[in-house]
This record gives sequence, C-alpha cells and structure tokens, in this order.
Amino acid sequence: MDAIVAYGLTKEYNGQLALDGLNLQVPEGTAMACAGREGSGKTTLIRLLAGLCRPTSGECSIYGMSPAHESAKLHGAAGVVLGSAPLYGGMTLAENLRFFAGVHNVDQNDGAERSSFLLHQLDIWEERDQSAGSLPTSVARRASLARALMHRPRVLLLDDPAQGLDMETAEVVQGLLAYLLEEESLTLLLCTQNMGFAQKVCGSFTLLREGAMLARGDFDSLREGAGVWPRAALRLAEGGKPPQGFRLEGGLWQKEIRSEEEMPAIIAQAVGEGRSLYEAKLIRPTLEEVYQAYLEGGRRREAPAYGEGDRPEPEVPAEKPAGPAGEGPGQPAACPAGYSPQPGPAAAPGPHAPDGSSCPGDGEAPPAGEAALGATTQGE
Amino acid sequence: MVKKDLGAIWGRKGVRALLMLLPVLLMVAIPLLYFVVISMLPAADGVRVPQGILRLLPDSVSSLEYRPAWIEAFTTLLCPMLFLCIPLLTGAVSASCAFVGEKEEGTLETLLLTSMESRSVFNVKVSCCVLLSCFLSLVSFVAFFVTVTVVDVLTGAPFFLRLEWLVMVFLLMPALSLFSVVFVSLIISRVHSTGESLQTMGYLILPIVLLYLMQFAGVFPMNWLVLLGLAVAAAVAAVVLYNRAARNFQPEKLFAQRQEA
Repeated sequence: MDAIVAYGLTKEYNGQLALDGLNLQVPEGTAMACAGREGSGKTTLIRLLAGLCRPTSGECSIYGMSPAHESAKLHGAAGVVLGSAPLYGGMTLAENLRFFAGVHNVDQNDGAERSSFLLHQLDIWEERDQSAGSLPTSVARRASLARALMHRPRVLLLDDPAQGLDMETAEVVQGLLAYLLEEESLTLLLCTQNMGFAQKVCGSFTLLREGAMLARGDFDSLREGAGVWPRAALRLAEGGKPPQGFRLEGGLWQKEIRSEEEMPAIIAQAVGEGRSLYEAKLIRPTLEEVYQAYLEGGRRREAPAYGEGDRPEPEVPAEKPAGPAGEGPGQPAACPAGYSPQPGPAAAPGPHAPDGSSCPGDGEAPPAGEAALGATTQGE
Repeated sequence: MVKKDLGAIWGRKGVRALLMLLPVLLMVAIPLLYFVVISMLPAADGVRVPQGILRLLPDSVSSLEYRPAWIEAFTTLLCPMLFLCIPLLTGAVSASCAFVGEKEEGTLETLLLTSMESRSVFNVKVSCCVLLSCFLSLVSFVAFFVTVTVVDVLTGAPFFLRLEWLVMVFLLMPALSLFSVVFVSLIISRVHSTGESLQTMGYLILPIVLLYLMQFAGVFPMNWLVLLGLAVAAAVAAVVLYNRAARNFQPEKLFAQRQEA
C-alpha cells in the first residue's frame, strides 16, 4: 500500500512553476528522499503534502487523506518538519513537547515517556529546560523533529533536517530515523539537498530539478540509469606504468568497473604484471555524483584513460523513440533524464551525454526487474 | 492553548505594559486629573456650567452647583468614550500578539501542522483575546467606579452609574471587544508585523471618537437606546467579520506571502 501518493502535482507562484507535474508513490514503511538543489521544489512538495498550500493542479494524499480537505486528520497521522515552523521561543523545550503532545491529544504519561525517549535519542535531554528561543540551530532542528514525532505519526515529512547540523549531529538524527523505520514502521519522505544524508537514510530516491522530476528509483537503478559506475582505484609506485584503461584522478589510477566482483581480478592482474601496488580500493559512487550525472545528461565526465588516448565520441545511433516515462516504482527502467527522442542540441552526444543516443549504460537499459524500484525518469 | 496564548501575550514586556497602563491611564489617571483641575477651579456664587453643555445632560444636572455639574458632565459625556476605547485597544493589542505575533514568529505554521482544525485554532485564539479584553475592560471599569464614587462623595455630585453605563459595560463593551479582535484577525494575511497590525487601533477608535463628537455637536444624545443600538450593530458586524475571518484562516491564505518569497 502506498502511504504517500501524488499525481501530476503542480504548484505555481505568480505564474512561476515551483513544482511541475510530479508523480510520487511512497510505499508504506519505506523511506524515500526527494533530492535536489535549492529551488527544485522540495519545500513546496512538503508544504503541499502538509496542506499548507494547495496545488495549482494535480492531487496528493497521505493514506488516502487529502491535505486540503482533511488536514487535521492528516496531521494526526503525519508529522511534518519544516524550517519555517519553529517551536515556541517563550517556552522551554520540554514545555513545547508537552504542549504539542496535548494538542495531539496524547495522554500525559505517554507524552512524558515519548518526550524523554526522543530527547535522549536525539541527544538533547540536557537542553530540555532551556527556552526554545535560545537553543542553538543544531538543537532547535532536532527539537523540531522531536515535536513532529511526539504523537507517533505513521508518516514523517522532513524538509532538510540535516541543514545546519554537523556530521555528528546528523548521525544522531540518522540513527533515530533508522530506528523509527525499523521499529515503528514509519514511512519517511525526506526532502533534502544533502545527498549524503539522503543516501544514508533512504532506500529510494526522486531526483528533482527546478520543480521537475529528473529520475526516480533505488540507488543502483539510478546509478545505472545515469551511467555512473563503481571505480577501481590503484595507488602505484611513482612513475609506475598503470594498467590499461586506467586514468589518473586525485593521485590514484582509476577505472570504471561494472561490478564490484571485478576488483579481485584487477588487483591480481596488477600484482601479476609486477606493478608496485601500494593501495587498491573500490570507490562506490555517491548520490551526489549520480545527481550530477543526471544534471549533465546521464553520464559522468571522465578524463581520457591511459593507453586509450582521447576517448572516441560514441556513435550516434539512429533516432529511436523514447520509452514512456515510468509511472511508478517497480516499473521497468526508462531512459535517463536528458534522453530525448527529438533531434536538437541535446541530441548531439558528447562522451558523457547519452542524449538522443540511447539509454545510458553504454547503450543498454538497466535490466528490467533488476531492482524493486527501477529507475524511472520524467521529461524535464 | 488558551493558557499558552495568554502566557505569550503577558510574556511580552511591551504588550504587558501597554495592557496595564492603558486602563490605568484612561480610567483612573485622566479622571483623577480632571477632578483635581475641577476642584481647583474658582467657583464664584451663581456661576454656572455653559448652557450648551447642560443641554446634553439630564435635567437634574441644571440644579447642581458649579463643580458637581462639571464632574457630572465629565462622567456622562467624556468618560464613556474613554471607557469604550479600552475594549477596542486591548482587543486589538491581544489579537495582534495572538495572531500576527505568532505568524511573524512562524509558530502559527507549527500550530497548523497539528491535528487541531484550523477553525478550532481560530476559535481558541479569538476566545482568548476577547476574554482578556473583557477582563481588562471590567477591571478598568471597577477602578473607574471606585475613583468616581469617591469623587462623587467628596464633591456631592450625583452617583454616576446609570442605565447607559450598564448597557455599555454589559453589552457594548463585549461586542466591541469581539469586533476589535475579529477585525485584527481579518487583516492577519495582509500585515507583516505586530507593529503594523497595532496601527489598526486608529481605525477602530475613530468611529467611537466621531460618535462622541457628534454628541457634543448636539446631533444626538448618547442615551441608553443609542448605546443599545450601537451594541447590536457592533455585535452584528463582529459576527459577520468573524465568519469571514474564520473562512480566511487557512494556511494557503495566511502564508501566501511566505510561500511566494
């Protein structure tokens, strides 16, 4: 069952599109991240789902409840954390949590227990008697999260919870979210520009740009859709001749590999050929790299490899129609963002641009059914 | 929630000072100053209050001596206007804090993210502000009652409390409190700050001042019937505005400026 659903969700402010026909389904008990840069419509999406504004067109719901018409009921089932919704500055942190528990009709004992649990989990127990107005940003952000979780919501809508948090504090938040996903079967929609945080917390992702969906799916399908692969990295003796196909990046000789299983063979080959190998490591792609690749048209930019000279321009295949943009998770992967059946500037392929050529991954679409959430894309 | 709102209003130093000083100034300090000035007036035998003023007062006043007649004129013609300013001002100030202040701080958004209906939030806030305004108006009336009663006894002026005052205290004052609070809640989406919303107090007081100026001009006397009519008109206007304000109390309208920003 989908806990959060949005169809063709569009929001315009003074004729300017903040969100453009977004389709979204978040299955119950899962965590999805909507990741994108500033101005990509993340906060607007949360505000629409929370009923703080109404869509220009399209619709959305949480457990079948319309944010516009059943907002009170919806807020009983969903906790919302927004940067623009702080706690009462004149009350202490503990008083704030008590107050919001009361507003949600949480029993006084349950409220005290829940408040203690959340304050401890978020490592802000010591600050409970401080006025909320005087709390430092990192504590205030965690306090807002505690407020949203006081009534044990089934759904949590988070708008950039890691903003203003140091790495250690972000890990605390991440730990609590992982616990809630596991123990309370929480459904999480995380909107953030902190891709690293999103990657750690969520299992599926929707990449946004300027209000439109770039791609959607789990990490592996997105990675494959973007043509971003793991890299084998070797540190060789200075002046040592690198193996064929490797290129120097950041002091390491690197090469894209299709699978982690290739790594032992690469090491064995390097050692077998008598190279002085000091270090070998596998560099896994990050969501940030995948997102960047989608922004650039679907493939990471790469320098020419050793022994290959300049990389040849990929052959432009005959124009072929695009597969339909995926309508939901679980559907076969379509082409990445930037793929366009129309000829034009985007169709002129570069070494990193599969536009107009084919689905990424060297012309191969990710295998259908490869992941529970196949990467789906939507026209920009 | 009422406790939280009252605490928030009372917790602001400036607002607390304003809410305490206003009644004291209007209903105790100004009357006392006036009585001191009257008691210092030279009153030669046979000197009378001007006929123009006597015409606005009950017939019994014409038989009073100079000072008691002036005190009667003051408590009958001027003090009601000062008293009616209190529910308007305290209502506007408390509503500015409860509505605009919360919107300014962002906590109104937090409140609307709870499982409370936005209509309930609106009702609670209006009730809280009206209750506070009525309470402060009643307290100031009691202070005025004590002050004027003492002065009446000392100067030999007739007891000031008449039917007009009862209509004002029990009908017109609550209606004006509600009107004032609802008026501020209606403009919440248009104003940007508490200070800006406090400026609306001027619009609220102006009609009352005009009414009493018309009375001084002899257009009509402010007898209990006129006051009753005013109370009904204020109540009807308040209910109409209340429905409109409650309909507009929607996140989409309240935070339109923030969203567009």
